Amino acid sequence: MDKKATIQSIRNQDERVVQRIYGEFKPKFVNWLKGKYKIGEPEACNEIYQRSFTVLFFNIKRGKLDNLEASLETYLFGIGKMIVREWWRERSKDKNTLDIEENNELGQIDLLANAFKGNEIDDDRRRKLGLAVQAMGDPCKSILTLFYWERNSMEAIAAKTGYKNEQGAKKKKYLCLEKLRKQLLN
Amino acid sequence: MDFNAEYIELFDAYLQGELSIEERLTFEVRLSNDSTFKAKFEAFQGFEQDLVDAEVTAFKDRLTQWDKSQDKNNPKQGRVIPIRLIGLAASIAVILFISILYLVGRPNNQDLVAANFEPYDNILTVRGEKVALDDGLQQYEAGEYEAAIVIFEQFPENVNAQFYLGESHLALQEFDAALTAYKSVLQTTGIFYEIAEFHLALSYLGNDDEQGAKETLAAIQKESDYYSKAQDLLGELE
Repeated sequence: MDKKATIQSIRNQDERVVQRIYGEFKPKFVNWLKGKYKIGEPEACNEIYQRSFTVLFFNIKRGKLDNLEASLETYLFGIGKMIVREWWRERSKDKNTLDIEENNELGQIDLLANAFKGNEIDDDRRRKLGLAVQAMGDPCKSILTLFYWERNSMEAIAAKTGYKNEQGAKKKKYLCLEKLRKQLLN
Repeated sequence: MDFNAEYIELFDAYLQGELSIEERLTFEVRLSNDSTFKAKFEAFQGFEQDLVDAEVTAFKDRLTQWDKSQDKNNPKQGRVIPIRLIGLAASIAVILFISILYLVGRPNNQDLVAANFEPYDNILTVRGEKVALDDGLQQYEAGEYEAAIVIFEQFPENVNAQFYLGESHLALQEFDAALTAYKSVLQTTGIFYEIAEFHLALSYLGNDDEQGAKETLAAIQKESDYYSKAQDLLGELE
């Protein structure tokens, strides 16, 4: 499968392709972490790889890599360098940054820093929220996932969910947010 | 997560940039003056951010599940190359070698290559899927470099194949062919770039092109894993 086809499959969230790529890049990436950055703990290597791959996935999903010139692997390792820097910064007392040369194509990358911030309690809260959205009936589930996860405009959401116009879909979104908030408070 | 339902529309309109200039100003003044309003707004922002991040957390959880199922299906999966140990052993070997040579005089170039070269591990392990390079890599790991070369040469456009082609030639002391392969690898900045730079210098050295070796070693940047090795070898050559 060539690069464009792989990127398209990942954008379409083809689980088999995503899982294959995840497994394919991992051994080399982990060996690279050990060899280049002397990060020996398997848990740390795993965490850095998972973060890097997650960043790769979401940047593809959000259409930021449609015109990628480098190979996916090179790009993933470029992300890896930045994640290692963040990872070290989180753990270092002096908060010094590492002098890591960055690939130009990485300039606009979203490192999803907020999603990786926090602790297990924060992750649990997000898990509950995600599950609550999935458990909502339609149209709430569709409206919220299309808006917050698929990044559709309200105009596009109105068209996809059968609302007459953007305003109608927006009103429904507010009601869905309120419903979700109440569900989580109970 | 405590934000009032009545404010959702207003908060959303503000965050989506849908308020008029006057409305926006009024909103921001209220944010500055009304701490309860500000707290509710921040709670809404946090709620929305959590909603966005929930997808990321779910995806990362899925990766963990894949890892677990992979471990269960394949407990002896993937070689983890103990690079640190290899590096330590190689360093000790180099120190011993140089110490012995110190007693008997300056080594010739091929001896220096032998002291500094170790075929790079196969890190292209692919689990559960056979790819075209696997046959070559198997030969390479077995030390069957001639057979590996025949296979790697079938992939002139593949930077990974070119790197292991260079490694195979260098292991056989075929320095001209190694030079060609490493130069090809160095056309792009892949993950083998740093090791290819160092082994390019060794290939020059094997060919008794000390000038080429020195220039290549001197060009190795401080950030490279091979910087200190390059500096040591440069010292040997001076």
